[in-house]
Amino acid sequence: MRINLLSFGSLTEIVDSGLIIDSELTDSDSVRNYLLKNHPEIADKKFIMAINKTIIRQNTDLTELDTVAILPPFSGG
Amino acid sequence: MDREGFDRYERQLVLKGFGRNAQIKLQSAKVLVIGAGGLGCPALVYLAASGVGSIGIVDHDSISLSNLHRQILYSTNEVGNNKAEVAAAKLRSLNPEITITSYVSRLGKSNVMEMISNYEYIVDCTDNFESRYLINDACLLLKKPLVFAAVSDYQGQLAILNFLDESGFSVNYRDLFPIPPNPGEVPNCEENGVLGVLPGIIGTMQAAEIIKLITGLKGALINKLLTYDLLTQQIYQMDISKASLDSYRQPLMEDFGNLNPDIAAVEEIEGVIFKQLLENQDTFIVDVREVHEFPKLDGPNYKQIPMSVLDEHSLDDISGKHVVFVCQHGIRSLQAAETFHDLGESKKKLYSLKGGVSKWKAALKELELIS
Repeated sequence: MRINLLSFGSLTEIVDSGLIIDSELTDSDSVRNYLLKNHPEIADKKFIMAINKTIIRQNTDLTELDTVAILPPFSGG
Repeated sequence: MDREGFDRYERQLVLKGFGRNAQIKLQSAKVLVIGAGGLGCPALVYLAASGVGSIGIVDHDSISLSNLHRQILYSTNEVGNNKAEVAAAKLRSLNPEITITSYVSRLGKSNVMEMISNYEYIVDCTDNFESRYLINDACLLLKKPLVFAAVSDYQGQLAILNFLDESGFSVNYRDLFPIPPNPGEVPNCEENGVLGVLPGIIGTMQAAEIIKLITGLKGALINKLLTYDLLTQQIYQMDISKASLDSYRQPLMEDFGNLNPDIAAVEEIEGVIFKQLLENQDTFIVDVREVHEFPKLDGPNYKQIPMSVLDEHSLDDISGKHVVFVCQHGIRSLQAAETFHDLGESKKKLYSLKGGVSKWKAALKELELIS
């Protein structure tokens, strides 16, 4: 499946935003696993995941070209 | 509004959808800005200029030369002076018609409740997670709307938290990030650097959101997280949903210690907090339902004082520091708790179970309070 990944804040230093094509991406958990496998540094980061602009709390099915955003907390002011 | 007031605010008074009524709402509003740095300076300038009637500024820090590229209220000859005091002086000169109060204090558990309780709207312009979680938890307990913002590299986050939307729904910062990051996990502006204009934009957005909340203008970011990217000039907005109740420990009034009892008025509580309270030996339940109402409750720290005979009772014979009032739906219990609170029973912390016995029947059974 193809998904649009949007990364924010310090996560952009680990993973770029853009299209990801991988047949195993079927739900949000598979995206998380994909990120952990390809960018293991992300394991140490706190972030939330949103699918099509809604924050998700549990594993959620994806459809073709869904936008998955990953956002860390910001503290600067 | 006098002539000078009209002249000062003329451009927004003539604005369609704003006008005199909105200006009056601004004049009677009380806003506390915590942190007078990169976010706080622009937020304060626009709040004061727009005519917010009472503004509090909290900052214990002094101005340093490296602040000046973004903290636009300060000048080179003021390096070393306290930020809250300098900001207050500048804003008084900008708008002498409003009240500005400076608090030269480091925000902590012992003073956050008292500061926040004197204001209607809170603006988080701090620069560290410890303060952000402290402010969030205090606002949650005191039911104060919070306009949160933060920056990182070239991006900013902005959200209105703890404000009920039209359907009665609200979220707090812990619904976004339930647990604070570990120290050093997220770099701050000092380590990572920041372009001065970024907190300028985001702090200005905070002022805009406060003005929208106060005046009722449409489109406020209630229960939404906005992320702004300075490089692409793109904005990404998403809805914040509630985190599951077990994803973080609900803050409690007693976490804050040294509480002035006047501040700790009656608190409406729900499921998880109710359970946590009941696990505390010092908690007593007062059931204000009439004797014919079901299901019956019972337990070692339980007493029934029906609403119809409430005025014949006091809380003197009740042991325990925490008293949770319950009824069928949480309406009479709130009224009863407030009655006792107003009578000066505030040596005990009084709570009311929101939703009442009917909503929390299963939890009450689990706690063996329903036989």
